Amino acid sequence: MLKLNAVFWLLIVCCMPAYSINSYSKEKKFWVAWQVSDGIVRGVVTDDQGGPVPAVTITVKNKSAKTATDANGKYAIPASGNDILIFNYVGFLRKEVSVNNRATVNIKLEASSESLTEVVIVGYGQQRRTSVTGSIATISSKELTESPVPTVSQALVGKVAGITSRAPDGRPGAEARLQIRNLGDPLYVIDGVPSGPQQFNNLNSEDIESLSVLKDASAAIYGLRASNGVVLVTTKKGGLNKENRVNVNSYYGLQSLFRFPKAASAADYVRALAEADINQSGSSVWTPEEVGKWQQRVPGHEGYDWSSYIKDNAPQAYLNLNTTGGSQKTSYYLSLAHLNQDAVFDGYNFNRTNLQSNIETRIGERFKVGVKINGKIEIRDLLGLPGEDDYFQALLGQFRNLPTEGPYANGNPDYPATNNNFATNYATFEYSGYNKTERRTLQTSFDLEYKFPIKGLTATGMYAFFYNNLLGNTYEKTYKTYTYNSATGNYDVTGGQQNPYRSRDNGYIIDNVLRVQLNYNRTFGKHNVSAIGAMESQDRTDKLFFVRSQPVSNEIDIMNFFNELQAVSDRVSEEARAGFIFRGNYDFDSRYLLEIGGRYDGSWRFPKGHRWGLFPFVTGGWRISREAFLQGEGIKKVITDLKLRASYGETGSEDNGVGPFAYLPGYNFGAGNAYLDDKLITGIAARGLPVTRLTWIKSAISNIGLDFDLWAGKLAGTFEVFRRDLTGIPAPRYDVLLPIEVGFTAPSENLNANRTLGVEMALNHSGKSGQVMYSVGLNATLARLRNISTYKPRFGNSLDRYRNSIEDRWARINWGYEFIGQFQSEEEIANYPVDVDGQNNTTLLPGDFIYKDQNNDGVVDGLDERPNGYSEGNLPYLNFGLNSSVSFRGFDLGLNFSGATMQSRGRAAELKLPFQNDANSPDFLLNDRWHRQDIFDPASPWVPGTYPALKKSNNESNQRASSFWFRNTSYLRLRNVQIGYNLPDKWLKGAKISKVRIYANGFNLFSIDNVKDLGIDPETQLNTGLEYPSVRVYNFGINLTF
Amino acid sequence: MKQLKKLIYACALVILVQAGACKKYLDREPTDILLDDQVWSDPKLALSVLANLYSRLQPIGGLETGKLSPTDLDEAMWSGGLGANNARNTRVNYPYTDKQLWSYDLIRDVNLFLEKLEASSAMDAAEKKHLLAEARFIRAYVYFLHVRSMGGVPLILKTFQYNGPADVDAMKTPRTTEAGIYDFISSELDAIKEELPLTAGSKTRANKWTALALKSQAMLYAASIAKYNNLMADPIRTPGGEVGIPADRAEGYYEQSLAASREIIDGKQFSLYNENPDKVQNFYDLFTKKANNREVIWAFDYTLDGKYHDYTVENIPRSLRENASGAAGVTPSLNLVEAFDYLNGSTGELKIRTPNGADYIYYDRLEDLFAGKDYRMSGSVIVPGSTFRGKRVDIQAGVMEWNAATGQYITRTSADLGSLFTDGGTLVAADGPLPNAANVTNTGFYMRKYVDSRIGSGQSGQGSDVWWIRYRLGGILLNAAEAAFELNRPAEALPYINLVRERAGFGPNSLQSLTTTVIRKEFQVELAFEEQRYWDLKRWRIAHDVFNGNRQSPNTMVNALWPYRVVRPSDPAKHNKYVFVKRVAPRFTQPRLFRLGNYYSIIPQNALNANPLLVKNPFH
Repeated sequence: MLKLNAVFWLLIVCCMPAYSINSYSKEKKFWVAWQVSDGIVRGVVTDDQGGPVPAVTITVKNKSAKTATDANGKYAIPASGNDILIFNYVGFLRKEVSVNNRATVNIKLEASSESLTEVVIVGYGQQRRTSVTGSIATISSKELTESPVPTVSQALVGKVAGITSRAPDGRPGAEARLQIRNLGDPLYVIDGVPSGPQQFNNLNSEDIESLSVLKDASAAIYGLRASNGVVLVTTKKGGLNKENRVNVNSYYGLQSLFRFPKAASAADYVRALAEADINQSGSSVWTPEEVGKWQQRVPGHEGYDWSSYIKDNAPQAYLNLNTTGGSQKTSYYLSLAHLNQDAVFDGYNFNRTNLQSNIETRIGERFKVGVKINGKIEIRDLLGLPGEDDYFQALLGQFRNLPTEGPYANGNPDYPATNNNFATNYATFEYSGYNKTERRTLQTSFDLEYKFPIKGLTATGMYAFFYNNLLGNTYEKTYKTYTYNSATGNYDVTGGQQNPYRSRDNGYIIDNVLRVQLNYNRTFGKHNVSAIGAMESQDRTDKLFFVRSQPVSNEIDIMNFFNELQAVSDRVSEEARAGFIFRGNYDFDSRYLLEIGGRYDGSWRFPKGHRWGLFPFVTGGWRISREAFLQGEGIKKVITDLKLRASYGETGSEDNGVGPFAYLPGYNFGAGNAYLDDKLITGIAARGLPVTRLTWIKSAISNIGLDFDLWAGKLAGTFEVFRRDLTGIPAPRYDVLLPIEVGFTAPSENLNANRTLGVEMALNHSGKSGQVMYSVGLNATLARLRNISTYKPRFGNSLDRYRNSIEDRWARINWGYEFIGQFQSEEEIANYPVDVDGQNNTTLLPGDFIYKDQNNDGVVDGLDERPNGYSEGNLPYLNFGLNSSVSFRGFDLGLNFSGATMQSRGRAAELKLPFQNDANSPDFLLNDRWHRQDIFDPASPWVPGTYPALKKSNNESNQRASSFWFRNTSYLRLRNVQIGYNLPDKWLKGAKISKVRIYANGFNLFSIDNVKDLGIDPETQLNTGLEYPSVRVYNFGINLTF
Repeated sequence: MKQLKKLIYACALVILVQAGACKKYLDREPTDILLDDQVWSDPKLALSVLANLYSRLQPIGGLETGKLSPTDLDEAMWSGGLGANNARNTRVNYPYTDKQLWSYDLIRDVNLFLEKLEASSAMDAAEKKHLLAEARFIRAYVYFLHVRSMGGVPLILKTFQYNGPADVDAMKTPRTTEAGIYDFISSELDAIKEELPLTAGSKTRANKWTALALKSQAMLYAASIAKYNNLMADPIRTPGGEVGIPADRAEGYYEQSLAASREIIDGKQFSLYNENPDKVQNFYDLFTKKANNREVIWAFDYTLDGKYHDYTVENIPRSLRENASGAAGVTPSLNLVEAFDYLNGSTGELKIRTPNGADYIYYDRLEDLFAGKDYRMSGSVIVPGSTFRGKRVDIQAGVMEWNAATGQYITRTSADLGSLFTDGGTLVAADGPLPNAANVTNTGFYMRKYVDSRIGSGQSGQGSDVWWIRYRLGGILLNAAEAAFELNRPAEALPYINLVRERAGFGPNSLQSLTTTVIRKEFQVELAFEEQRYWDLKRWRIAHDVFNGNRQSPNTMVNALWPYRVVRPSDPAKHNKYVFVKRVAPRFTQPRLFRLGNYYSIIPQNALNANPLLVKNPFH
């Protein structure tokens, strides 16, 4: 941890001299310029209320001179004659003023509503924010880099209206689950290249210039893959004639688990074992004396706290160096970043190195060429523990290791103990081996732009090549575990891992994108016209080779000899897509806006003759604020901008539930095998009926939105309502009942329909009071899926319909019993008129659950189940975020809250069943329970608790799915708080540094929610609670600009 | 400017080429799909299809899936994890879906194989003949599995094509009678028996002898149903004969079964496994040794090179487990252990109390209790004090400490395996039993049959390659004995059954006379855990009597045998000796109840919905 830290600071220090030399030489040139100039222009910059505005950047047009206002708004810059001064500051309109031979130029800046001038990246182009008619949310690089998170998806949580999210997992390198309006997994397009979430998440967020979320018909231009919306990412580039800048950003932080269920102590565990025996059969193998020893922690009975293996100061560190600038013809952005994140368990690490190089140059008058290179190395270093997920044993160990046993035999750290389950004994982890996954990615693109001699007409072309290599190595080693023999004083080998495992995944993905595009953009008086036409093709080859062996030794790390080899598999898949894209925009006077477009899109997935589809869209807008009746002075002061817009678009979803080659008959290779006559023969199996009538799912999305900007940015916001109809969801025809005896099922056809409905809003307020500037933003998204129709549904009876119909109902309903209380006494059980457990209540004890007998038939059975809560394991239907910032002089403070509700969570295994896996349980299950006052005396009175009386088995009645176990989880968490300080300029002058900002973050500091009593993070998803929850992080960082 | 023009032309060309290429651009070839003509011109690929079919003939109670079937009845119980499988110990009755089978996808694939191969002209004629006969054998076997569970089922011998809703009515096929399916099996086997390889070289693929073994078994089932169903007070049958076989067919079926069995026995291709003079070890080797095993007729085979199972991982004694979890899944019952007779001919009840019942019998060693039992018992079950993999499996539930004041024993136990009592001796043995714990025996016994003695086979990453025997000569001899006895030819039956008993260690001609009880007990002990008993009790129509849901009936509860060590220093004759307690296994709570509706499993509701011609089975 200390080493990690030191390396980073060393890197920074090494870089500083290099750049100070660089800037020193620039400075010299500057002074030369100063001397030949005729004079110096001075002045004061004020805001519309006359207050001074510090830190305004002032440049001279076409010259290199540059300065900034001081704390009193004063500035001085070498300029003269007809030079034009440019004043720039965030939050104000950019202003250009001619010097006109003056020596003093005082300027009043108008507060800008950023949204008026902002350019928004849209599919295959960009538009001014004011003329956007689709539902497009954007997020700036500043907002993205606020939170110290490893992946981009995590940085988006709570920031944007329309994004629904859940962060179920907080392990190093974890991603948040992200959807647009709960529509499903979106398409990610990075610098014009359609990619997947893996590429998106592992971008260096510092390299992102802007991020646009296309939520409605504006996504339709991406055709067959756009039904769930599109996320567009643009990386940074330099600018022509821009001074060279070097930025360094680095932070170091300490992580701890936000929350994890606490296992019961040894004393509680032993008592619970005895109690369970007596509850179940009246006697126990545990004697009161033995239990008493554990309660009193007499020597040898102290117990062991396995949570001591969870660290609360796991380090993470980040360093980014980037430089940007440009000459008259060439601009560049170069960036190198490294992230290193440890887990709270020893032996787990995630680190990533990102490289981004964006260079663009003009050749002659009409050509522009550019090359973008994005390289990534992601490395996940885990322990080689048994099972698929190498974190699982570490998490499971909290309960699976008994508190009555310690990690070492006789406490001697040379001898890991043979405990209840040695695979989860943390003492064995250092002997366990490793699992290392390395992903190396290279995404390059070559861009070409040509400006035709015809005004407004340009052509662009792009070829992008993507290569991704996956190298996964797992080595699970053998080791021994011991038991101490007090009689002989020996450590006897009594167990251990004898099952070595070695495997390697080696795969690569090659992806090619080729695009040619024509753009036309021109203004004729009040008529603004623009159009694009493009052609795009993308193909992808994905190969994966897997080999597994059983190594003979712990020492040889290569696989050799086929007598060790156990399995080999090889997978190849290819994809190909092509599309023709067109879009036309027309607006009159920036007042009436219209956009029409579409995509003729084809996919290799479908049979010949059914591969191509046309996906049109239309959007329109009316900027009411441009109408004459709103041009009055008084009204203009209030309504800065007001726009009503609507959109409709049709897209498709390729993901129709059958594989790419479902239309082919024949045989599948590798289906089962048989050992016949001492030869292992790989099986091949008939594929069943070819699916020839199934095509993509059709998606139609409609959106109506209102954008407003009042009092020049004081209050801005958006309200939207939307609806997405999916039709043609695959289903078999019900009225064609093929006899089962024919041995095949009727192929699915495009028959069913569902609909996602929702609303969203965003509100922003920003203002300034004296030297305090602040902003508050609030966003919320409600989106829920409803099944609309199924193909000719048939039901045997009304109960069947009630229970099984999904016609015109909210989707993803859970069913369960209605919990109406707990039995208070044995008499109550004996006299209870309803058979609750299906065995005439003979299995029940006081504290056991009473379910409502909904149909009053005297017995609680499947017929009494009722809908229960919202969906489990999906994203919450309602997400909201609150983001605010305040700055004062050099200080700034940012707060981000995120929250959600309308999601259900069931409970299973460790969170529900005492002694799951014959091991320990969370303390609330073993302690907050119904029990007898004297647990050893079956005659003593019952003491109530939240959970039923403990039993090891025969608890089926309580364990049935019921409203007791289901919870609608709601939370509001402080996701990020950041406080920063910009060192005053006067301190920096000597150091030749233009900006130094130091900051501290707190990530996930607290949460208000309703699952605290279970000790789980509200965003985790597994109903067992055995998930690596979000981490709480304290970070310290520095930001330098040279 | 000229160059620019060239570039523009080049761009235009790129656009045109791209547009032109689009049609082909989307044509991609799958890498793992074989087309019909590729498959049916290459004998190797045809064999691959066959391998797929063989792999789908998973035995219900086999080693790989479902290995739990001994816990269905009174042979064993589940002592593994306390999760879902524990319901096997607590179930009130068997659901009607138990043993349900409706595998028409498999039947379609076999029919498809036959049709495609028949039509193929690219295959060598002799090869084609063998393969066709082999597929027909597989189909007959699949129909046998169906008729055993479901009664008569629709007999589908061709594939259907689907060209839209209009075709559907023609596809609906009614059930064939139960006798009809057995007759189909019989005639198919007769037809192909000489077309299959005539030697017994293969233990894994069909040959003449596998066909005969299937016939021996299937015809015996048909005969028993024809006879015993009609002896019930209220025979189980449907008016159309989909369930129930007329009584007058019994004799014919017995004759067919006997004839098939005799052809195998007289063919001398097989002999009872008798390679090891240690009779216990010999009976165990019969199942685990593949080399020189001339008893096995047809097996489902495994190899460590890519097809192995975790039967040993799941069922190995607790102290011998090689994995961090698992072990002690299926544990044999006392009921089964006592079904094995003593070698002197006396019945197998274990002697744990003095004849007047006043006191325990004190044994010096755990294993002494079992002296003189049928060797097959120790060949099939690990009893307290026996050895496995060269290690002793000690099973001791606790200590009986003598309390001189009360004149009674106090039972001392612990929750810890391998714990020591205050006198320094064992309290609870490393292998249990414990009353309410997972992965340690609950009955006092562990499984031996089919559990691999090779070190490493208990690791889930490797597993075991012990094969699952479907047909062996021992079973065929018993089939012959039963058929001959039912045909009232006891003199012919006796030598067959005595041969089986002689190999078990009873000595020549150990039985002088036969009864149905004797024959049935021989089936129970010889074929324990071989997925036989359930079907035998069913075809003899006694399952509902044996498992009548009455806690007091002898076989409705799974019983356990718990050994204790005696601590009574005052009485050296008893001190440190072992006594035994018989009890109901603590994790076993509900008496077995086999309902009349369980004789035939329920037809799946979706099958009934889709085909109105299907008649329901009785009681459903």
